[in-house]
Amino acid sequence: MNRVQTCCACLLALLCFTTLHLACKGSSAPPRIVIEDIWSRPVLIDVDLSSRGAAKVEEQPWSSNGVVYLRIRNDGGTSDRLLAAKSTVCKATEIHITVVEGEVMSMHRLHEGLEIAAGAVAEFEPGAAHLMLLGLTRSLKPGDRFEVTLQFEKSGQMTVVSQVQKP
Amino acid sequence: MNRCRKTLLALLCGAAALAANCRSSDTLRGTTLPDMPFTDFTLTDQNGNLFTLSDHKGKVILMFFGYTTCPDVCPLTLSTWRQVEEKLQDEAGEVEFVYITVDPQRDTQQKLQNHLAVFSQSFIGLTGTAEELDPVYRGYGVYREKQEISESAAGYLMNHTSSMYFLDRNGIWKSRMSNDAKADDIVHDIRVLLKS
Repeated sequence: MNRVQTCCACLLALLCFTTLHLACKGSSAPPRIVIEDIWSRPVLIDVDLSSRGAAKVEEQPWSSNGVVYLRIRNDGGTSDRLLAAKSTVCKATEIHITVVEGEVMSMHRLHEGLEIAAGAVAEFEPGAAHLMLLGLTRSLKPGDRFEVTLQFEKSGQMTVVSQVQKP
Repeated sequence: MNRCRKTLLALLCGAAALAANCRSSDTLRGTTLPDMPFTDFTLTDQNGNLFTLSDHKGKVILMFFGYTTCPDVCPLTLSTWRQVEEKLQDEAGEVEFVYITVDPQRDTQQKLQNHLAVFSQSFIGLTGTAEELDPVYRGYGVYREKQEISESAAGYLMNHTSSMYFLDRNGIWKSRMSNDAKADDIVHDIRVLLKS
């Protein structure tokens, strides 16, 4: 009888544990990041620096910059954060935001990246948040496609392709 | 008598509606300014030629202050201007699209040439020395400030006035619109100024 009671108690405990575990798992489903509508503006630069090597690129004092716009959707159960981005077409990629106050426009770097809450959508669009491509190593012409790698806090790296639109 | 009154009332209503309609099609959609004579200047364009504003009296001038390393708002304005130029078709020849840098340190003639060529060969990009540009900024009330950014490859960014300005054929500074103005509204105001 004691053994039966012990078995029942064990089974009950196991059931409780499993139920609790599943309940917890349900409320903290991982983020599920979806990237959509990725595009860039065309930029013409003086010379194609891509074949000259990194040293030459570093020497370019007044570099040309580009931009990537996109939509990030988080269909998961917990928030995630876009921490950084990189691309092979430029020296550095940063997450920036444009702010217009009155008539004055200013841009700011989002050093901490951008959080995308569970179920939320982050729009990177003209006049708002954008990925800034600093020091382009080649021109971006309409129709060109290039890779951009996004680094998320929980979802890790995701590589997407941006297409250059008409001006 | 009653019929006469009704007819008169209908005529008056019609005339009022017509007047209102005429006024809306001839009224500028941008923020109007008290008619201000333009501040004349001579700067250098992207091809190395001197550009004197007063030489272009007779045309409507659309003016914007920006910088070429801005990848967001400044190209957005130029992209809108490109649509405006396309919509104006033949009338575009009566308009000068003038882009003046707020970052002469980085915006060389070559940079302006490359930047504007993406949008239109007819857009004019102007730069100059600080001595040449400062009176222009003051004359048009343009705010500009260098913003150093720590831990950024951007080096610095420029905070600046982002409105576009409209000057009529007589060189009177008539109005302004925000940088995100719709192409159709800009085209409307240009046509109003072309007719005035």
